Parts: sequence; C-alpha cells; structure tokens
Amino acid sequence: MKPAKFDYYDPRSLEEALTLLDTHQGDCKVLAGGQSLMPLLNMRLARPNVVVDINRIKELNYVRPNDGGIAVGALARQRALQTDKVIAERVPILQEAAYYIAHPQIRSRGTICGSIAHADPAAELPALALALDAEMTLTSAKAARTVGAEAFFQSFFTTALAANEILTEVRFPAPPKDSAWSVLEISRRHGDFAIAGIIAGLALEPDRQVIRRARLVYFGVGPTPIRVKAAEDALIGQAALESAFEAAAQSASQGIDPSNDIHASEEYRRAVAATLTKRALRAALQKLTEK
Amino acid sequence: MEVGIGPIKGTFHGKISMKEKAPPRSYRLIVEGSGAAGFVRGEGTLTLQDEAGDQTAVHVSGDGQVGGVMAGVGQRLFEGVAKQLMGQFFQCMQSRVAARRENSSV
Repeated sequence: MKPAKFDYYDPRSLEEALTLLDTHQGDCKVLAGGQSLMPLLNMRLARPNVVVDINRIKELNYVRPNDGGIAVGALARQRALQTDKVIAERVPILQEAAYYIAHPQIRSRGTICGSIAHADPAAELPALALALDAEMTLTSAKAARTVGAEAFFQSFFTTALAANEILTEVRFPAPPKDSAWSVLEISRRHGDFAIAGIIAGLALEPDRQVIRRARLVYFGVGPTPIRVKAAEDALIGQAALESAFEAAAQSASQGIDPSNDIHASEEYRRAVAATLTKRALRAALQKLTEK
Repeated sequence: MEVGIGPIKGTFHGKISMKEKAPPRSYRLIVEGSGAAGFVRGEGTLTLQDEAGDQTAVHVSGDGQVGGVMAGVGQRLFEGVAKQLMGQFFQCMQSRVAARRENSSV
C-alpha cells in the first residue's frame, strides 16, 4: 500500500516547521515517529497534501527533569519510558505502563508526544497524561500555550491542538510521595488495542487504614481516556478494604462509555473495567504497604 | 459529502433519499455512498410522537453497513463515532428549536 501524493518537508528548526504549518493550515500533518500516521497515509484514510517531518529538529529530542517531574520533547521516543533513568526515578508508573504500549519496534520509533497528539482512545499515553495531570505545550508560529490533560482530549483523535500548532512538550509532574500507582490492561494479544485498561492511583491517611485520595482513569472504553470521579469518591474516606474496592469497581463500570465492536461487547468491557479496577487497587495498595 | 474524525477523512459520493414520507410524523432516510476509503450504506427512521403538553419526542433508529479499508481498520470506532454524530444531530436540533422559540415569542 502506498500513500496518496503529498508534499514532504523536513525543516531543521521549529520556526521553519511552524511557518509551514501556518501556510498549509488544515491540509497538513506533522510526522514524528509515524507509527500511527504512516498506516493512515498508506491506507489512504488520511490524505493531507503536506507532511511536515520534524525528525531533524534536534532541539525537540529530550527528556529532562522538570520541578519534581519530567519534561518530554516532541521527539522523545516511547522507548525512553523504559530506558531513561530520570523517568524511572521520578514517574515510575510511566516505565511500568510502557510494557503495554505496542511492541519494541513501535516504541523505538513512536514518540510520547505523538501518541498524545494522536489521541487514540485505546492508547496508554493519553490515559497516563490524564491520570497524572500532565500539561501540554502547544506551540504555533505566533505563541505557545499550556493546556491541561483534561481540556486537551476532546473526542476520538480530536484534541485541543489547532491546525497550526505542534505539541512541542508534555510535562508529567511527579506523583505525590504518599501515593502508589498501578496500570493494567486487557487485550486479545499483547500489543493490540486495549479492550479496556486502567491507571489507578491510591494514597492513604497517616493511619495507613483509610483512603485519602484516589485516581481512576480508564482507556479503550469511550471517546477519550475517562476519569471516573464517582468511583474515586466511592473510595475516599473508606477503609482500604475489598468492600470499598468493590464499590469503586461497580461505580466505574457505570461511569465509562464503552462501545460494541468485533473485539468485545459493551457489557464485557464494563465487566472488564470493574475487574481491572479491583486488581489495580489491590496492586496499588500492595505497593503502599511495601513503601 | 465529507465525513471525518481527526486526521481520518473520507469523501463519499452517493445518494441520500427520503422515503415513506408521512409529514408531520415520520420518514425513512436512505444513504448510499462510496469513496476511496470504502462504502457506506445505511437507513434510518425518524418518528415524531406527541407527548404530554406541547412536547414532541423524536425517535431515531437505524442500521448501517460499512465496508472497505475503513471498515477493516476503523471497526472498533464505528459505534462510538455513530453515537457522537447522533449527539451532534440532537444538539443541533435543540439549538434550532430554541432559536425558533425565541423568535416566535418576540
């Protein structure tokens, strides 16, 4: 399969790339790792007239410490999630979640920012961004703006990014010291799109019995990653016991918005989300007791 | 007709026809189209029903078939996107009804 004809640019600076985007607004796609865009082009599901390849803009290739957390440039590969020491130290859940992202070949090319900008509802990185309150920098030729994860993801493959903007940086803050996180996902084969997945965060009161805070974010079960606040509320103030986890699981299965497809029915996805909720909370609690 | 979500866009050429028109109660809408990404065929029935007071309930039901590359790759998204498009339809209608009501009360 070959893509439809397009004009290809490979600018050497961010300014140059942004000017190109400005000139070809709306008819232009940014190419970074290409792990989603290339199949779309080859299958001719996306037919932009212009492709702007940002791989030669060296200033965008970085992972660096930022406050307590990390800042990730537009060209940092998903592989960095598994190899970068700063990430492993500061936001270890990112390292853990990388295991679920596709396959090694794809992680070696695919970028962290690219997955977030693509906003596939079944992808791990958008859910991680939402769970960890990541902030995105959206840069155009005229200005740069910061958008939080909650406002960033709008629908299937649809984000706050305007046609003349590049997602130049994502910042993941370090999760609070008293919290523990876990990630789980069910798919038919490893690396397939998630049937359902969860990122769960848990923090206990100083007595180590009662739940102080909880964060529950699901993917593969709606148009965007979905945070289910009602399920979090079912946990906060409760003893960290199976009964509270069960209540959260029931609430979560109602708070998501899954669809039927050839991989799984809506009901099955709700059931999987409930089961994953309990497993993820047990795993997070286990990590807290080991802390 | 151009339909798209995010970077995935398709242009379809075909026919949209209304059948079994029974104003002001119901009609059947039939859509047939094809394009580079595949084909779509669908039909839906829209029924208006008197409710208590001066309210009208709008019932929409339909069935669709999609084939080609788009179907192979996008299957997992169809139902969600269909839900979203129906949501847009109802939102659009709501705002038009509200606008008309405002005009008539002036």
